[in-house]
Amino acid sequence: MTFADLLAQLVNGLANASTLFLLASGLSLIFGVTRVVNFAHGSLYMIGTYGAIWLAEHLGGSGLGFWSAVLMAACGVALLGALMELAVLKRIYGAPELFQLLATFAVVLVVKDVALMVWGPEDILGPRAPGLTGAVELAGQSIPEYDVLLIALGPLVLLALKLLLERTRWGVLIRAATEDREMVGALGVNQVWLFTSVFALGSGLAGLAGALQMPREPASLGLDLIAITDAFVVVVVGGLGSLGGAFLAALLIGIVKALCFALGTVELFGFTLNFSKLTLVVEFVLMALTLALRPWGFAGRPLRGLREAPGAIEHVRTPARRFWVIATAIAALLALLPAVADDYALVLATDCAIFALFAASLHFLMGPGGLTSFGHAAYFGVGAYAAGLLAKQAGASMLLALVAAPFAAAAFALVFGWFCVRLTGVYLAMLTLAFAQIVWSVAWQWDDVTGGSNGLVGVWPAPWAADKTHFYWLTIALCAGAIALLWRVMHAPFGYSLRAGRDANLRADAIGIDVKRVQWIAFPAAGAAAGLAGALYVYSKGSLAPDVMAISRSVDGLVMVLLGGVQTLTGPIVGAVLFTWLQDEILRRTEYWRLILGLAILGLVLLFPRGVVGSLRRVLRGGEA
Amino acid sequence: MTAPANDLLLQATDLASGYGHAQILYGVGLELRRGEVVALLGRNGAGKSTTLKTLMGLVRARQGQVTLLGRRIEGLSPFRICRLGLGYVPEERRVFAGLTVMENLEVARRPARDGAPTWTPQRLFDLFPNLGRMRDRRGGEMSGGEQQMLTISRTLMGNPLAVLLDEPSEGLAPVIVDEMAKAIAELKREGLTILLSEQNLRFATAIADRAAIIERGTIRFTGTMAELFANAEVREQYLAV
Repeated sequence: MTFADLLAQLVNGLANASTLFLLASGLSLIFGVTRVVNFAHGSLYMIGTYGAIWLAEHLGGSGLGFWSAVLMAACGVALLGALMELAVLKRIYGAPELFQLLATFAVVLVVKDVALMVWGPEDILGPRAPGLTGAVELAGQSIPEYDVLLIALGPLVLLALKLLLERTRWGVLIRAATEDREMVGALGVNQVWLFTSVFALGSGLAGLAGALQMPREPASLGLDLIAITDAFVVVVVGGLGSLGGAFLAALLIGIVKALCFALGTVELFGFTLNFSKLTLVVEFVLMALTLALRPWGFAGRPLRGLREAPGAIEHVRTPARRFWVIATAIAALLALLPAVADDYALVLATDCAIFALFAASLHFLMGPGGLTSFGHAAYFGVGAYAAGLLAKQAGASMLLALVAAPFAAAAFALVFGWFCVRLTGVYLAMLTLAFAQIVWSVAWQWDDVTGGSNGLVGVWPAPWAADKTHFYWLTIALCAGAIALLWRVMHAPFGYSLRAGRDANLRADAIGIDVKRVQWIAFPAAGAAAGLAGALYVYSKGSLAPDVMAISRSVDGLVMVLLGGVQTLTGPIVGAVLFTWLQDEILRRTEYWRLILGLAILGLVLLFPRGVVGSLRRVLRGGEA
Repeated sequence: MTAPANDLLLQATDLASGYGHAQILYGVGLELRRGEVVALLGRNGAGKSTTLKTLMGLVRARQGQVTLLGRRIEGLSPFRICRLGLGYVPEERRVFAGLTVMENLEVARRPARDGAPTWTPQRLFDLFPNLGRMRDRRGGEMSGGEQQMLTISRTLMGNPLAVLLDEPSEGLAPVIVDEMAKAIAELKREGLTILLSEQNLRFATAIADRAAIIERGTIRFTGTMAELFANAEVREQYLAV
């Protein structure tokens, strides 16, 4: 590595840091005021890139055309954000925060398919900025002019936002609402207007970030999740609600990534280390380190009342004897399914059972534990890889693999959980996401062992279970058993302790419950169940790829749990079956399954803000408060 | 003190409310006339704060009605109720810790209102000279007494017709309590109407015209302060600790 290489990478890293900061500042503003974790923020960024490229094409190749396209895209995305707030989120501010999260997931799905419809599946290259296509000479290295502009833009936007927040009445109201929005309302401020305007500004920043990336990065349909994870990392490392912190975090991540690229492959103590491979994971390692050392990021403060929304938490009832009778009857009916179903339906039913277990294990953390995990796919994936690797590399039998996989997943969950339970709320959720992304990128890049992006193929069930019907029975038995076990644990003293810690952390502590320890143990318990689901998944598909633990799988899990309703035992199962079946059903008819599913979820969220099962139960009980 | 009926500013009838499954108020009735100070007295947990929050729309009224100058306000959102002329000073003070004194006042600034005193930061600093000396100090860096002055001043910036004042003496040093009583008496001279929730009978006596006693979510007694003092039985039953 020469100094010139380093410099070139550094400039690139700093330019990236600028757009990263724009993106993250928008997310931070929105979260600060509305307390909505807006997963659709990355989708707005993606729309910014696509929109700017599309506009630039139609406005001609002049400098005026380019910059008008950037500004129009940013303004358009701002409008879109305001629209999303008005049409969806405004109606559910009173609902539990997880529901708002589900609504933003649905928007992610809808936006992705709309982008697919409008712009197609191929990546689209954007035009370069007219007049800024040249390079500046610096220490014998040519630095693109456009990058210089971006580097300057980051601090300028930070300054402008600071001035806006410090010097205008609007800014004062925003800062006040970030601290105590109910009080702001009692002082005569119309929050409806305030929230919508914050959404517009935050979304506009995401759109601007996306539009500015147009000459540097092709528009693609994967940008949404990449952008949202990057933005989360920056916001969390910087400290929620702190613009200065976000700026520092963006710089740090930009520079560290640049260093990894610049270092390339290095010989260290006889080991060959390829640093450029670390770029996928380095930001998550940074986030995990930051949260372990400073639980509220660089400049963040503990959040007041984030998890104490009154009415958000309901009791998970102890099932009556009747419940177990019905559950057993349903299990018996399921066992008889092969008598009437064809192979296709059996495979689908197998999938449903696997994802029901996955969702139930996530629910175990989220429901009784109150521990929201954005990275639950990690345990599913570790289970899947453990089974796949044992079968392929060690030639282990299916039985051994199915027994070992939950242990492997539990071991990972034990380590991750130890760090996670030290945090609360969104920070905890982000750390789970960080761990999941670390595991995912290892699977993606460790070609020699995991097969890299190709994954592992030819992991087939043992001969005695190879038949579709037999495998279905095996899956049903294992999944039903594992779910029953999870339910049993929820209603054992351990489960009560877990719920006590969720509902009244300090009081539970004061009566002698080691809340952190109880929460920690919940992680391997849920992890093992997810690991079993992952192992069954590998054998049902015969292969696996890093996708099994990608962020989209974690999001699927969250959607399943929230769709069914987090307050009920059966919610996650109904949600998983509904989700898996809907996905399959829609996919057979149209490639735009995400659009349909997203709209369906939006409809459900607006109609049943307690989840399907929770709302049905309310209706059946006569709807008393 | 008696006032003509057309001076009725705020009236609550048969008000019920609570949190989740817990009902706190069971048919509260209250009247507040223009220019008077009414003390809402009662023990801890009797429903004083919940009454004020329900009047302000911060807790939903499940039953009953609230009228402000003859206009129904129950069911309106707090910001509308505030704009109609009701001010609220919370018990926990809830100053914006990251905002300066001036910024805290700015949040609550509303246009002048007919029939209510008009407040500016300068007039408030005349009332609370301490605040005027710390205009740029952040709310989080102030003492409890200073925060209490700020939270009252902040509410006054909305130029309210009436203020709901939730336990302004709570947690303050005796010397600050006296200062607070003087300030509230001054506000009364300005013509401000006040509903004051209190546990401190001495404090209430110093400034209130009338008293209403609440116990288990129901008003058990209403009368002038003199009537309250004449009635040892009521004081014994509902206020003795």
